[in-house]
Amino acid sequence: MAENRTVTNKVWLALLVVVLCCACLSYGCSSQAMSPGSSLQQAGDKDPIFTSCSCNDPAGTIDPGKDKDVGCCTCEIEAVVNPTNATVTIGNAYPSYKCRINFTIQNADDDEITITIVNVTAPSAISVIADPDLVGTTLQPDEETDGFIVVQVNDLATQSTTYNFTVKIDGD
Amino acid sequence: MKGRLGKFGLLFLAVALCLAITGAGFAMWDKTLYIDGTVNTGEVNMEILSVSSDDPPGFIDPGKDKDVGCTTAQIDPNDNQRVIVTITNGYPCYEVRVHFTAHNNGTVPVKLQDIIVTSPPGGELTVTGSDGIGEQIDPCVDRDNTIYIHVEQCAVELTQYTFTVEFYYVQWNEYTPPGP
Repeated sequence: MAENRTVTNKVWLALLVVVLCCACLSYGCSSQAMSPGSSLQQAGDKDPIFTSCSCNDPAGTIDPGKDKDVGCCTCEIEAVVNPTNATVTIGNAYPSYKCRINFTIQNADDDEITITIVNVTAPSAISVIADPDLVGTTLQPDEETDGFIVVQVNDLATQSTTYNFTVKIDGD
Repeated sequence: MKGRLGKFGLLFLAVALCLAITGAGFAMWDKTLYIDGTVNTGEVNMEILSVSSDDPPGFIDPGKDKDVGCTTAQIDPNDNQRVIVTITNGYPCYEVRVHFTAHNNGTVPVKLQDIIVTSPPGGELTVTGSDGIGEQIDPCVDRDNTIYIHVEQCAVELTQYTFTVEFYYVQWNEYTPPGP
């Protein structure tokens, strides 16, 4: 009887180890695909994606609200590799420089998605304001919605410096 | 139930349940979009390229008929945004112009907001630079400007006056016109 119990426990233990290994393996793969800037997004993933992205101050145009072309802004989507990532680059900015980035999000999933949180992380020298209407937006499969962020350089910004910010848009 | 599964069986079920919950949570995280932004700021930077006086030694005093006083001007060797002016053998009503060329070697347009002069505290000299205030200089552009110096009645005899002139440039859209 005791031998039977020992054998059963060994089987459970082996199963537990196998399950944990599988979980770790799948988590490892998934977490790589999740990393911002990652290039391991698998073809066939059906997350919400960016389908377009633009800025109101491309190179060679007068800065918004100013009378000179000094700063510039670009926005790119890693459309092929990772369409869940958009990259905004602002060059030659200065205190009071302000630009707006417009983007379109498409629900590429098979289920409806509701945007629950828009989380902005930015240094104090930069103000980033996200479209307040994004949160609560529900997208049916293949449906699109437009959103924007506004980036402004504050007086705290120092010259010849690089500042980074992140906007994380969560949905479920 | 406990008898059939055993301790390890219960443990297995508990772990499986935890993993299921984690998986559900992870599935929610999966629906995330990122905007990664980089802001590179520009630079406001000016330098004085050249400076000269219209009454160097050996020249007739401006507006007069004799060579009495003289004025030399040089860029401060420790700060190329400052000019050092020296007036020798000046006298009341002696006046002179100092010309300078400023270069915007930054990446942002600037305007001359103010000229800061460390003139003698007794008011023996009046220094003005009205023609350059508010003038815009774009990146990589040079601009010639002039300051005017006038020796007042209270100037002291046998005194050589040396003072510095600093040019305060600001980002073009931060310029504030002088008050009335």
